[in-house]
Amino acid sequence: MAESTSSNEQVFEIDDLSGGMQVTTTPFQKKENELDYAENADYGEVGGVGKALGYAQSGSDLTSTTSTSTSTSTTTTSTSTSSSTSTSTSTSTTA
Amino acid sequence: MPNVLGLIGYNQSGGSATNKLLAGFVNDIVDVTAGTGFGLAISSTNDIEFAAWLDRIFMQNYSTSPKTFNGTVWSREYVGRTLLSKYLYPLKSRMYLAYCSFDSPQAPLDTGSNAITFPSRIFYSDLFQGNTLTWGIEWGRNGSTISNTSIFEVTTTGGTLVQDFQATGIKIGDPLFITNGNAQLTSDKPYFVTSIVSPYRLLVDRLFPVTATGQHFWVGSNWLDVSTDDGDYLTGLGENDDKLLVFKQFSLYRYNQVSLQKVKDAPGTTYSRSVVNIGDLTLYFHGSNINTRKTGFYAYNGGKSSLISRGIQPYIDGIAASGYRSIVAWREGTKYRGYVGTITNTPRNISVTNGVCTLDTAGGQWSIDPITDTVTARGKWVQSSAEKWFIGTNDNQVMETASGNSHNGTDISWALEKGVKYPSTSSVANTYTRVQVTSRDAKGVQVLYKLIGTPADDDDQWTGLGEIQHNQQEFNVPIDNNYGRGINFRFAERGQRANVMQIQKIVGFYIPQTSKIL
Repeated sequence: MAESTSSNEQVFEIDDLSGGMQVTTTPFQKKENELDYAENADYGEVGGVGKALGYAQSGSDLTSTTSTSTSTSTTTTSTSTSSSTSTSTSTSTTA
Repeated sequence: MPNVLGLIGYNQSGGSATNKLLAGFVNDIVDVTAGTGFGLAISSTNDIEFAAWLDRIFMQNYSTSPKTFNGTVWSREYVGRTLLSKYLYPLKSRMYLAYCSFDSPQAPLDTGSNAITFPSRIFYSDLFQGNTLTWGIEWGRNGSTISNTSIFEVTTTGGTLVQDFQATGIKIGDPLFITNGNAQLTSDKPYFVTSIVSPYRLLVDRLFPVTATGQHFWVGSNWLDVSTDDGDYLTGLGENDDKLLVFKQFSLYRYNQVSLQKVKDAPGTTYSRSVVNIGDLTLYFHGSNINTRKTGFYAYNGGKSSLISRGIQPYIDGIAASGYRSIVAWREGTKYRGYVGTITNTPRNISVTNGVCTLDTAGGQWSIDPITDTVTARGKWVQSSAEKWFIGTNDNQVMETASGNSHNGTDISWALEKGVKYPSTSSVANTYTRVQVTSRDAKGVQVLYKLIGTPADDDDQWTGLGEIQHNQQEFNVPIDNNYGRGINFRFAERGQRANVMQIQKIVGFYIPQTSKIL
């Protein structure tokens, strides 16, 4: 037999969990449907929270098939500082 | 274990419809499905960037000579005289290269005998014509001038010349830069091409003052500068609304093939692999000074770029600066998923390993998703007529995502914390009696709670209520811990259950009490 609610007992309902994580405001500024934490969650069904899909390996572990080239470069690298004029037709403006 | 250096799917249009998923790995490119490499002997472990264009796959890694793949073999088709680049992107009728340097042989040096690089310049191809792609650029160390003439030519004392001004698309009006050699020539302003006389000879707009051989040079005009010498450098290319997006670390530009425009007050990206398009948005990660609150994920909508990760800022703050250049993102339907690695924010009690920050753009919801692997690359492939995304890891594996109910065989952890609920306002304490949970297919999910303000302190540990057994489940709140101003709920599960589980509703029963804090 179901128990009856105490005459002093009150009820609150949380029926919308679709706000996703929000941890930047104080608890008092949080929207009703926002969450403190959601891990591997899925929000595909509006109002509820489910579990996200995973991932699965495609093919086998990759293996190296060739030997590494032994060529090396001894020149040092510098940034181009060319200040010459250009015939490029592009223009740079600030939006 | 070595990293997967790059990923892309090749889907050949028409004909035999060859389809392959290709991965850059160690010193080769591998057909992931077949498990075989192409024997390319790539000379570096730099990231390998790919782009699909002209029914080919183009590859660049800023070290090995660029190559293209036609479905069967890799070759120098379409990239015979092409610069090395860190980034490439095809848009409309051209291929764009960013952060470039000269390829061997005969890469010219500057006056200090240093390699020449272009960290703030974009080069682009000519239009594809006559089954040929040219790049409008030529370079070498074998330039020669003849005094009091306008003749510039390339010469060799033996063997075949690698240059061909005609075949590579040099045009009238192209600037010729002499970068190393005769001091008078290298200090002079650029010469401009007036005639391409032969594959090996140009005429320029004025007379050379000296006769010189062995001059280092480059010639061409298929390029545009992006705020050179601003202390920043190019970090990636993208696309939005049919315009090329150009990323530096601290700025963002759009290019409509005519003019370059800086997006106002928009940061760039610290890693090109964080850039993903979903709908109208280009989403990406920018990392900088966390004290200015500029670090985070941004969305560019074609007009402006906005910080969208403010709601999870404590987690963003927990990403080490050393990880800003390792953030790899991919798309799963409407979800943007950005792998950020380790997240540590001790004052906020946050510690996540192999974390993925996920935004469902359909509803604007964030989640933090620990996974099992370290992600180093991502790529898209149409497999069996279904568009799929794949991620590469740091232990020589390629994963299809989203797929299955595990992380490649490892259980997936799942958790939900609602946040404190004050049923009678935060000034009134309550005696909590019961909790009812409405769910679907959630058998075995643990339900826990914390009380806030009991009456002055908060619970520092979660207390278990039990496990969900039915879709309508009621729990009794223990009477030795049922008094507080607010209550928070946590749901948790770890396993490989099918992802049809849903937590739908929480109902709490309470009796308000009066209270004072002290």
